[in-house]
Amino acid sequence: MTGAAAAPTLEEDPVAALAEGVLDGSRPLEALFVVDCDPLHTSPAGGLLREALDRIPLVVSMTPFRDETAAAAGFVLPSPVFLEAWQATTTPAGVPFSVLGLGEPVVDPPLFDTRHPADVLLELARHLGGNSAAALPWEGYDAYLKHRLEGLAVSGQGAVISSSFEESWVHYMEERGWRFSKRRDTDDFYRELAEQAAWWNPVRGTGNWERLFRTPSGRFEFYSQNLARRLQRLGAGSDAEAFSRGAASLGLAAPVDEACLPHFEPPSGEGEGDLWLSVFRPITARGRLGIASPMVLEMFGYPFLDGWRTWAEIAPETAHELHLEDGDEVQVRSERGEVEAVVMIRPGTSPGIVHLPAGLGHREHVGAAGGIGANPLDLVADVRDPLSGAWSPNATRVTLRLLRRRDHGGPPPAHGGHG
Amino acid sequence: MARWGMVIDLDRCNGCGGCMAACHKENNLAAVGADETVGMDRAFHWLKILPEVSGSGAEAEVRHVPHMCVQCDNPPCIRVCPVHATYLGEEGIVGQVYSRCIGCRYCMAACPYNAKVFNWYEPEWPGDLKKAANPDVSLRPKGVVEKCTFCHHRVVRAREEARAAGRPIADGEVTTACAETCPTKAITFGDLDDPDSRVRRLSRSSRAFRPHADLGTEPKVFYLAKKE
Repeated sequence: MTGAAAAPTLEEDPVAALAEGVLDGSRPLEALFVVDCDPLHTSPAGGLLREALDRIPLVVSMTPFRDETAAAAGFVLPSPVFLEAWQATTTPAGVPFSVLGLGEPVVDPPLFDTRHPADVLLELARHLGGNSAAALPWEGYDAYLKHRLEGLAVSGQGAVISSSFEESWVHYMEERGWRFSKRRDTDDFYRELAEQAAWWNPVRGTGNWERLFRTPSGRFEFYSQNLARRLQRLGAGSDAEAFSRGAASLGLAAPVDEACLPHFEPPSGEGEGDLWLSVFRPITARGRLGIASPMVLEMFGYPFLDGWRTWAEIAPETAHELHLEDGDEVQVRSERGEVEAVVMIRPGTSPGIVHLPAGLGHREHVGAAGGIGANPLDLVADVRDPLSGAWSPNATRVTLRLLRRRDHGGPPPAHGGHG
Repeated sequence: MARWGMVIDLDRCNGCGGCMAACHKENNLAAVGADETVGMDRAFHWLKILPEVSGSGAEAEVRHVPHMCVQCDNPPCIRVCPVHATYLGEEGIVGQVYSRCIGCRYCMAACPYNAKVFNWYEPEWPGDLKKAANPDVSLRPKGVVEKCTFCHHRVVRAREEARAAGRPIADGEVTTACAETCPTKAITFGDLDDPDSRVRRLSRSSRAFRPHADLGTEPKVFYLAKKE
């Protein structure tokens, strides 16, 4: 991977854009604060970012875990885990109404000498003074959260979740068009929200459709006006010709007219190899806490009764073609690198695809996970989705090479006994 | 006296593995480590999610089967134990006395459900993990067999609380860690002899079956088969 920009895209992958900007000098940074994430391990642009970090004078990682980004940082400021800090969660994707969760720390004070990243940044702003101090005047993270919730409190919309009979009735009435003014005192609202842990607004506002649907028809349209405007900007104009120029410059496979409609844009595969690589994140590698635990590593591949290693999931047809069996150790190779994995044959998997789980392959000791398994993102080619700019983790071609046959003396890993 | 049992609805299970993780944490299952897992297949779980695949290609259908000790009323494991380390309790839970077990593993060989596991190593608790152990569940030493206990410590606690309050244990008052964690409520635990309990009603469903019922082991874990 080089610092040169990849094919043009409408949006930028944030990690890649940051790294490329630092490396080509267009976005010089004096300081970088990395808060509770490990982009060196979890982003396909991790290698690029590693190079870029060397050119940033001050890199600070605020994290509860010693991870790869922390190891590459100049300073590590230990932060509390989620059970030790205030946390606010907004509406998850797919939930058809507004929800807000507010969680109090259940371990207070934190077990170790840690500080919440927001508290650190607020204190830094106070010391900097001037505009920074004026922009971030709050004493701490909880004061900031309270400030952000003020608008919600005075709007009178929705309700703190409770099982009270009266509230159920209010919701019942509101769903049928009644409106009740419930302007609340911010302190009372915050206290009640902290006790009950959630607010919701199941009632969708009616009317005001112009604000919701800013489309030529004033109704819902699948055609994305936002995308159309961006394509026009890319084509340096505001007319249909600029739109066509913009769409053509991205090299989209879809006809220009369909560029702003939902459509399948086939990945422009890179590299040589008979198989496509598909990287997925198993449920055992979600979140930051899990993978640091030996217990989670032990059940990392639990659908196959396997743990502590990276597996390559392939279809029976693919296994037959390549003369591979369950449990064989293979090398998965792309133009960018190679990793080792154990074959798991899974009926229902599409033939011609190798699925590799992300989450392992830490170079540093993240809890118990250091040096365990492989990181399939090391294989991912620099192919980006032309519209979203996101890296295409499924656009890399790979080959499988047998390293070692499974030892037939023991039980097969997918149905292993425990004797 | 209760007769504890469990019903697992296979239509509801989505294979998330939450039950497995909850079981590990609740019952202080030690991780055996990478070398023993990968090289020797000696990792153990009291509860496993077995994949059951039917069909192939685009027609393939995967069903997840949570599998643990089925708490037989006629358990083959206790017949072969030379030191009476495994026994059938009054309330139908098959117990394991760790301090009595000599590690012969006859019970593991006799169990038709492959539900028992063996501590090949002295359990290791890296870092502060030992401090996080559940104080209600004893840590097992090297050389003994262990298995699912239906979270017996929870049953004991509920029984003591009910006794102190002078009342019977109510249906739903005690449940296992796996059932408590299950996001789809696929697992139901309760008293099979309580005519009003949910577990009894479900166990008598036309969809209910018991694994290898033909062996005469009389398991108290029921599965609900796929709805037609």
